[in-house]
Amino acid sequence: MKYIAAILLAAVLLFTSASTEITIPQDTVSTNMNPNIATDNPGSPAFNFKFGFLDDEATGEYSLQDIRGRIFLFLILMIFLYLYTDFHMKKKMESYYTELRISDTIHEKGQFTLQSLHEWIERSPELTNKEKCLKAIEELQQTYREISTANIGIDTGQNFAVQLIETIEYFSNTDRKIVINSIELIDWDKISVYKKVALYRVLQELLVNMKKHSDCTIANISITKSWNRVNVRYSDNGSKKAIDQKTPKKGMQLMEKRLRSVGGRITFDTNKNAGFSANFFIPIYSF
Amino acid sequence: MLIFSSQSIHFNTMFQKILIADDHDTVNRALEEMLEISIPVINRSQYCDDALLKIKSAIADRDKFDLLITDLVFKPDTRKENLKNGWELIATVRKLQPDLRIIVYSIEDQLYPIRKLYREDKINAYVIKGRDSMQQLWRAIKKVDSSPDSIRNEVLEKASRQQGVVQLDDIDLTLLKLLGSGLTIKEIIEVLAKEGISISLSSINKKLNTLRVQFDAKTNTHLIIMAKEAGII
Repeated sequence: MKYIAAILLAAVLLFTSASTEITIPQDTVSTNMNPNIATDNPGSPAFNFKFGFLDDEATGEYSLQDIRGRIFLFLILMIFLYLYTDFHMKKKMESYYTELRISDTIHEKGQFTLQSLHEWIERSPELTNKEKCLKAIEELQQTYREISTANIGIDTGQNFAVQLIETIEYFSNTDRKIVINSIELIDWDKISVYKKVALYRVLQELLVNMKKHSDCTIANISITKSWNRVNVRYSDNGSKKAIDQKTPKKGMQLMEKRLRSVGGRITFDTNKNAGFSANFFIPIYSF
Repeated sequence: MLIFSSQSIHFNTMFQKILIADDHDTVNRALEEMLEISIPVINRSQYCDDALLKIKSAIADRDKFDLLITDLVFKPDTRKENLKNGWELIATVRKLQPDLRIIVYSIEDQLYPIRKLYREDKINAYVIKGRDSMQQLWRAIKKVDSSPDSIRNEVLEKASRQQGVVQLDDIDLTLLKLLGSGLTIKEIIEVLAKEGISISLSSINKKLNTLRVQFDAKTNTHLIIMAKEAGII
């Protein structure tokens, strides 16, 4: 889709440059009038690129250089477009790989060290204040776990919807129900990997905030697809007090930043009586 | 020294030979101390490749392992490894010896990777590392020993019943919306019929019943209020 659009764009660019040449005053055009000049010294066309159809009108035939120039320009444009999209793709995936690295490091080093410390304390009868130590370690472990979870690897293949549902499930319990719609029916294969990553992370951030700060008992997540957008709506019945006091501004800004990088937008909304809601969308095709 | 001396009572186990794969020496040793009274042969390995080698040679000697207790994440070593983590080890071992019981003992607590292990690799139990996890592991070993079916850690057991998540399809949503706009069930059937969905009175009542159970609502009014609170309608 992206490449077809790029080719179309290049073609349109060439065509418009051709049609604008017609408006050039007569005396500048007259230097190119003689076809012999153009064919005699092809090494120095001096970039009097003849995209225009003017030559054809004047001489009645296509000049070779004209076609060559056009193909050359077209190819350069294509290469630039390819490099541009490739670069952007890599840049967008880079943050994801950084996240994975963080997750791995914490898994490998941090949690291991804590776990061994934990076991060592449990095995040392001579220690006083054992409970306090263990409690502190547990808190640290919880923090590590949160960081690790926030950066967890995402299955962007076939199992994306399953992982999404199970992540939502992870944040729910009997006292806090989460209602979802048929997420797995959306055609996830058509959405690029980095957009899926962004969607997953933003939703995860919302759910983490819910778990930490909200006192809601029921929440709703609905993901729907319109022609070029994936719309996500989150709403809950948490009290206004809890939201005003605790919801961190930083987290909201992060979500906004992440969505902007993939061409999406997010709006937050707190109702007067109760409830917090967030709406965001991600475009399926964008340039 | 026994850590859980009260729990480490000898029990008659089917397990004769087990393998513990964990790159953490303290975990390894603690497990061995806990199990050595009941289980005659306990092997340890700190690398996935090493664990696989031990399992392979045990199969070749016709003296298979009965149980594998493994972690998921292993520290990378300076030497080149074929199997980098527990996931790869489990997948490979499953193919080699389908009847091997596998207990995963790891710090990972996200549902998706754990469920995947149950679904795809048919592991027998999963215990999350943490406080008192040794006792949980002990219980898991006993359970896996007595019944070959999969058992889950309590944390997972709670989540596995899907009490927290309610998934609604389009018909459920329309039903809630129509009910919330004040229509009676008879009128709802008419409206749905106009949209080309034919549904009987009994199946609507059945659906509403399921919804009430899912939402923990006592009456339809209660159900609508909850749906409204959640922002569904």
